[in-house]
Amino acid sequence: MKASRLYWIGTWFFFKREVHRFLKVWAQTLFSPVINAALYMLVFGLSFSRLIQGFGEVSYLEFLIPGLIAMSALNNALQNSASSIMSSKFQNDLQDLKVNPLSPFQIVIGFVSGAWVRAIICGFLVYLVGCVFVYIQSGHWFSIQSPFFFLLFLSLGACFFSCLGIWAAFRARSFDEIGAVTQFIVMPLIYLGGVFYSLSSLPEFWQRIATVNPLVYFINGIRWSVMKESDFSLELCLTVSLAFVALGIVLAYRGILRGYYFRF
Amino acid sequence: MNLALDLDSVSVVYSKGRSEEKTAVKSLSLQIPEGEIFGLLGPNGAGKTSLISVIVGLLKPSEGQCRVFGHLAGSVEARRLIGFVPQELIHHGFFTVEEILHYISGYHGLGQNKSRIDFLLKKLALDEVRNRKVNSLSGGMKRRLLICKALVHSPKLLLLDEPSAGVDVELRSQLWQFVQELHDSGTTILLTTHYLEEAQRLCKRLGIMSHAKLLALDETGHLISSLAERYLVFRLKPDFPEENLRRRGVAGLSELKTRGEWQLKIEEGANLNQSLDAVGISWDSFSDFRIETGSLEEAFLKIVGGKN
Repeated sequence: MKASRLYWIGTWFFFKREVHRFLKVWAQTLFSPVINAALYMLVFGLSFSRLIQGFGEVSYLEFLIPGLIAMSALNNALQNSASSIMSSKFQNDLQDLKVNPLSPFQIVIGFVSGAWVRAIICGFLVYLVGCVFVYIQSGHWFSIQSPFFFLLFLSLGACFFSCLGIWAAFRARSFDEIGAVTQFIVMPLIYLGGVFYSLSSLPEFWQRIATVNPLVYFINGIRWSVMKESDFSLELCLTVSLAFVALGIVLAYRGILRGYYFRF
Repeated sequence: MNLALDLDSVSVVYSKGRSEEKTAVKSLSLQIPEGEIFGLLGPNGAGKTSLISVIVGLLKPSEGQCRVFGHLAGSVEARRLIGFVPQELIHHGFFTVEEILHYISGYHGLGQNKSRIDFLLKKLALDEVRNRKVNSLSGGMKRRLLICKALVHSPKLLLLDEPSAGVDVELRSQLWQFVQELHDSGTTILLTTHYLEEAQRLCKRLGIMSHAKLLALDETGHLISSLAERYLVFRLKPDFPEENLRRRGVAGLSELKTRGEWQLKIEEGANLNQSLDAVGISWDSFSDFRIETGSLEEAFLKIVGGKN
């Protein structure tokens, strides 16, 4: 059999395994993020919407929903890769990746594409919940202005965060280490990335700080595709997002090459 | 002669902190021809698992080179040819037995591998639990699943790192029978085990490791005959006063009570007639006698003990 065929069959099976894994625990991997997003919409979108100004003529709830879609999708992309690797370390089956003939790039593709599927499903489910909330509040359906760019930015963000999860989890030698990455790096990126507010509402100093946060560009790209309005131009969001995805792939690749494969 | 495995001055050094290092394997060279069944023995911590980790690509050697059928260890080409049964059990919390074998087949580029999976599940008595989650299996079943995983792609080189640890007697016997069948079909096998009598029975050649070094490497028979003690085992005629022997307590002479026999240790280079004279027995006193060589365990203890 041709080497290229062996290569793609191996990659396909690894991707299938990743999707199969998160579908086996769907309540935790798909349902739980939707409940979280629904609670955010209920508390911030409906209860506080009278107190918080929206973005131009758009209500705060409609401003919030693209951010929540991004937060849910990207966080789940990271969690998917990270938890898959960490649970494999705990169960002692991560060695399967080293022992069987999968190259580091096949492993990156498998993890990222599996995480991408989960991110897209989570994003879509949060979007559906958002539609219901917007309809309840305003009597019209929540629409996406540019589905192509919406899917593109969601995919780029999922790819970057999945790569971040791969890198962190392969390097981690304990659950504490991966917990620290989530708590001290990922959560601040998410909460300071413009999910709940427009960067223009921040003082100038903090606006400058926010520009180094990759999530800002993914979220603004997604927000642009929904509302055709955002803090940054579409071109800038796309360029920076692509650059971060490239960085993420390099990080993930290095993580796999130099990672720790043994049981905790 | 095609070499299945060619280890050339392989060393494995673990860093423990900034200044501390631990050498797990020290400049070890070993060649295993295709089709051989080779046993690697050694006490715990000798470096066997580290060496196997280098062969399968889990560890990079700190020095030296390892080749599997000519391919550098750890390369995708080398990994396609290896089946590896690790020492530690694996749990696979999410998947069933059949799903795991299906995915491992896929990693090897085998999209359709049902007949092989069915064969292995039947052969290793896992057919009835094929739809059960791996987590719910007993230790012995998990051990058998590890063997199925290693064989699902019909590897040319099978590495068994203590495959019979924690396995009951009946299963262990079936397992070794299966290993013998694999060997008969041309699979090269490298195994580590603490069951020396099984290694003695199965392996053509043996290597004994201790303290990161390969201390002995020879054909199984040679290794035992050159290192284990030899004994003259005899049965005395009924009229011989055995009680005298019991009372005198001669060094090197002991009574094998279960068989009604005696054994006299033959010292290296000693004259047997003189040894018998010293004990006060003549050849005429025997109703039956034979020379026996000691076990692999004796040879093993002599090598490892000598090192210690």
